[in-house]
Amino acid sequence: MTLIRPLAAVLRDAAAVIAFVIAWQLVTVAFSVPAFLVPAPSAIAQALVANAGRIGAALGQTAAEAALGFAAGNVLGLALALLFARVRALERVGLPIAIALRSVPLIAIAPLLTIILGFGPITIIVMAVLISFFPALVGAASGLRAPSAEALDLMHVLDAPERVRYARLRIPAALPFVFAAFKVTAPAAVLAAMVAEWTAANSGLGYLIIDAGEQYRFPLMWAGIVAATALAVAAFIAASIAERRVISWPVESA
Amino acid sequence: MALSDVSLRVGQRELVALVGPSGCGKSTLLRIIADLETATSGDVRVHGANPETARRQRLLGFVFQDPVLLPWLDVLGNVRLPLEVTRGGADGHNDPVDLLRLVGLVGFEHARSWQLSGGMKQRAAIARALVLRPKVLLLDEPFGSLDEITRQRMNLELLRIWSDTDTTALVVTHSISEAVFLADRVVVMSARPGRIVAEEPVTLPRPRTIDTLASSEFLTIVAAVTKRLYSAADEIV
Amino acid sequence: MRRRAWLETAVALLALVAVWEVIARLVGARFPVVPAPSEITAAGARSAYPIWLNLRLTLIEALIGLVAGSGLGLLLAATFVAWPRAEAGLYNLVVTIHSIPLVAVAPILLIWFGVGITAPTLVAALACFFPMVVGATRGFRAASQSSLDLMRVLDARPWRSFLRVRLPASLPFLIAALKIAAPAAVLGATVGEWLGTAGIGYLLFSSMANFQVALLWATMLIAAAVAAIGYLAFAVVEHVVVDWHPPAGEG
Repeated sequence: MTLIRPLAAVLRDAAAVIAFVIAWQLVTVAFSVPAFLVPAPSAIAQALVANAGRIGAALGQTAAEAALGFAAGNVLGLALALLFARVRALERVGLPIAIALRSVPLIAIAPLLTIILGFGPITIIVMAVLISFFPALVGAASGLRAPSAEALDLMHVLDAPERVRYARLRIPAALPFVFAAFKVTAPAAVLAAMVAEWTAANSGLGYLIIDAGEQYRFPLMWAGIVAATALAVAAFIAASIAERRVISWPVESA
Repeated sequence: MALSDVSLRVGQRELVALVGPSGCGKSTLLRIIADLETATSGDVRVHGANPETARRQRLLGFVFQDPVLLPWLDVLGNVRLPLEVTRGGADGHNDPVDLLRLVGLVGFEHARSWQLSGGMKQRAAIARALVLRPKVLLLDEPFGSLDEITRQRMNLELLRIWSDTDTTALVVTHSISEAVFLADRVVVMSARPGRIVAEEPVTLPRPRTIDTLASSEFLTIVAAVTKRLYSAADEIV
Repeated sequence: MRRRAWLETAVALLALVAVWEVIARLVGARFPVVPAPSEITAAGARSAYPIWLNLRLTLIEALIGLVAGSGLGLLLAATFVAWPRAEAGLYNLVVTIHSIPLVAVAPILLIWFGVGITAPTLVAALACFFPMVVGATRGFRAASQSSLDLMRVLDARPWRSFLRVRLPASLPFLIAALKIAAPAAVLGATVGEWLGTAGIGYLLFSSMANFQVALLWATMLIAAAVAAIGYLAFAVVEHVVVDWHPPAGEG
């Protein structure tokens, strides 16, 4: 997805969103749509303002937990990928397991994690760690192996020590894969944190959405959803900006 | 077993071309000299040293068919790469900026690899191969992926660059005309098993130009080499 | 070689399980939250029938969701390719829908449709919609220009060209997308059942709430296995298809 679009396109999208919201408002009012179905945008905005403190705190908490988990998960994944690259035997056994584990639905882990680690932020952070870890590992492992045979031959002819081969060739080659994974795992970490809050917390955006729903406070629930969406989108945008800054060369999309 | 019974001597400041059909082991031979592959038997000496020692003493420069320019570095960065990457420091090296001038890439120091044409990329690769002031330059089908016109131009450039530096050069190619145009001596190889079948001295005067390509002497030598190649091929049952 | 990798992984996993069993037997009493594999299997066997009932429900929801979501995704991708002008606006819409987290959508759907099979199925469909759109769009565009030009030169009708060139060329991409979509559908269905009264999602939640640790492990492993099987199934299909598929770029 392109981020730096011409101004006209941004304005056009903004106009579309505004038009959509206006239409939504008109429809809900005109047909007296009950709140439990779809609250009017005005009601959602009201709930946002009235509960700004609570929503803000929840957003901050979820964001912090997601960010911590994201950071830790990526560090672990990258470290393990480097280890795999050095010790081929480990990679042959470990990588298929990692790929298999990657497709395990995260929500299946949440209850277990809650029982093992208990109620509280640790469980939530660990969920975010898990969701960031596997794509980082798999992506980095692919990237570290990406350089062509000729590139490796070049390093050999230049008599480069192994450490330098990693620093100057393998790791830069892996960066596009890693940053591409960020664009997926950053929003996913937000999702994972929210899922974990369903079982392991009584605060945070994920919890707020469910809690508001159970209390039939639908405008508040939708306000929470808006905040959650904004957070996920912000995470994605941050990852995209980071990618743009670091990866200054064209890459074939993996 | 790619090669059998290969015996070759290359003199200092000679430019020798290796020609042969695919599978004749010419690239393998080059790679053995560069310590990219090991010979199972026999003796290889570069300036008196074995390939590994020669490589570590930075006596060798290698140009691959694929220029292998790192996309996250600009052209200057790529040419400087050997200086920054080689073990134990690089004393007595050529100035990267001078080399870029030599290969005709002035003004492109900060260009990135994807902004360059194929010919320009190989020029950068050649500059990079020269930065550590090697005694021997090894080129493995360096212009194989370029079109004919660019190829001829690069051949002229290579001769100009080589004559400006104090290096021995060994060029592997599957183009007979390229081999004859470049070399002092053309070594003809044949396949299954890979071996040297003939050596044709090239008596064309230097410096060689576009006109050389049309000269009758050139065409005669090309014909001779071609004949050697095909008669070697016929020997295979 | 690949068979060998599988063997090595299988042996590694078995070794892991064996070590786990031994450690659990030795110090298990102090870690009630990590039961021995034998205990987990026993708990699973004891509750085999309820697990099966719930699993069956989740699988049905995931399957219908997969078909619906993928089908819709395919259609949309085909629309993108047929009418490039529609793509710009529609793609933004798709991305917007995709950026709403599933955990936010699930409660809404539950409120709209109540407890039952509908909400989880819809969540499953949503979960695989986006990967399918992306994968199918790439796939339909993957046909080499030369083969498409050939169709034009032969004056083939658009439908024919699609069937004979674009569709076969897109198969590897479609299957790769399904490899992602299948476990995503299982995930979606599970998320949808979370607040409900039936299905694997419900079972996970309730066994946690009732502190039935061994049962929780058993359910979790089964859910993981199902997702993995979904992934593997399509990985196998991919292997078969890619084998006879000519390399990309050849007309």
